[in-house]
Amino acid sequence: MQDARTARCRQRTGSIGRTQPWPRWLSLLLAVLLVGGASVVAGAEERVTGELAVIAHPGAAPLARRELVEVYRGKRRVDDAGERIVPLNLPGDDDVRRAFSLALLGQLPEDLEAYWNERYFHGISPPYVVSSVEAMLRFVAVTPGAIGYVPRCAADDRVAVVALIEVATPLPACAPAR
Amino acid sequence: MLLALLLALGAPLARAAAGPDLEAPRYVLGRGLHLPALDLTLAGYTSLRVRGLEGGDTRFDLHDLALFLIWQPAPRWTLFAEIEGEELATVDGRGLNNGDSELVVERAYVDFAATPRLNLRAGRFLTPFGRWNLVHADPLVWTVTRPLMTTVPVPDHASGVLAWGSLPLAAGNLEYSAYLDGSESLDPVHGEAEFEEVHLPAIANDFDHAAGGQLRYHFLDEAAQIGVSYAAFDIDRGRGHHHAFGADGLYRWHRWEVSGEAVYRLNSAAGTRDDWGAFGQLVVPLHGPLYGVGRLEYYSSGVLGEDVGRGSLGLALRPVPPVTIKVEYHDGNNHRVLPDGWEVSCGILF
Repeated sequence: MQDARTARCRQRTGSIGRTQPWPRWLSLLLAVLLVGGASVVAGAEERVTGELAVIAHPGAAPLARRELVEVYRGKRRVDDAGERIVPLNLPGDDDVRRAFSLALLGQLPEDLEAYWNERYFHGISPPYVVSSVEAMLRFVAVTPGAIGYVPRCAADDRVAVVALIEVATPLPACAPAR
Repeated sequence: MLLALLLALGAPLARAAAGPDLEAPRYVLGRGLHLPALDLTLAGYTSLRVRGLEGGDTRFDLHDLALFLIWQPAPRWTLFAEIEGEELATVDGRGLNNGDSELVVERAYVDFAATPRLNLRAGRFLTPFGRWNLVHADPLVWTVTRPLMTTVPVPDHASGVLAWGSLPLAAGNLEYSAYLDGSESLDPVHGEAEFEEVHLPAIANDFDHAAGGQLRYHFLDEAAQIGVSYAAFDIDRGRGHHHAFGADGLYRWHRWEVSGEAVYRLNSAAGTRDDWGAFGQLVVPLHGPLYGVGRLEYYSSGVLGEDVGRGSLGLALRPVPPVTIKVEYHDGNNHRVLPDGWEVSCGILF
């Protein structure tokens, strides 16, 4: 499941290599832990039905999938230059948000509530929520450090596309962005 | 609680007023009031508790009211403060009592993001030992009571400096923290911490000096985590030098959750046996937002000269994510330290 998602996320910087530096006994232990999860995901056949563009303020550098996960988990809050990163989300019931969340984080928005409650207890808030794809495009276009996502066909020259993510759930048809 | 209610009622209005403009103040229940113009967030949590323990009256208690202040004056800098009112009002067989209420600075620190993977903290913070201590707020945990082994062997607060961050490792993410504590000279309330919820001698539970750290590995899309902790410390009132080792784990799977922690504390004082303890907890989804919770815990303390075992069974209702209502019955083998009985709580993040 994890490998499949990683493979589906293509960055302009190239694919992400995977190494397994652990001792074998640790791999076996993890395999036991994975048994429960595997029984569930085995029945969920995935198919690529859409592609999301991860967008950032013009001039932003490409983002690796791992960095993107850290940003959307609230674990990476400044970039290498020390500028604040401002991740954005669509509302929790939005199909694009749900597809993005599942493809990148492996969980739907409602399943992340407990996670964010704990982060919030440490003063780390979840990404801002904007009301629509167009609102996301507008905010990202004018806000240095902002990162969002839209259906690939909605991305335009106001923003930089820093990564592409293929998703397994249907996306709504693309309306003109402007 | 009143403040939480007012904020909750005002939430839709605030959100509507904000519209798509992210520069407008906005309130989200469970996520606080954010003032973008000031880079300031005001938030917190509160809990009400009712308990009926053997040998005592049924007692109603406004247990906690904690206010968070989070200020980010510059991209790399964050100031965080948690001011908590404890035992604000109690009603029992003797009537209303608010004489034991107190206001304490639970946490107050400044964070500096040196790099995306290294943060430096200075101030008063939660001791990174085990998992429970770091998420101990009532709305975040599944039971009304807290396992004894998460609070007695290692003080729950430290004052000093902390380096923390997150590193990618294999398919997961390794969080680290390392700290140096100088509570004896840095903490203005040093010597005033006391154990909650247990009938133990009135001893303070503060570090004098300490050093320690924690490694925590998150994997399976954060559904699983394992952690190890270490602390070397001198504790208040000269009870010697100690080394504590901890291990914990948590696995969430389709709303099921299994978790546990273990601790071993080496006591240097002559004639004092070591402390050790562990707990295991299972959370089972029952129907919709209703969960069943069971926990077994044991703690053996050489310093206190007490051995305590306890089993707890309860229900937890989470109708909306920031709200948790819990009812619990616990039964143990040391009624002097932990009396049997039932407890109910309602906690809300606001």
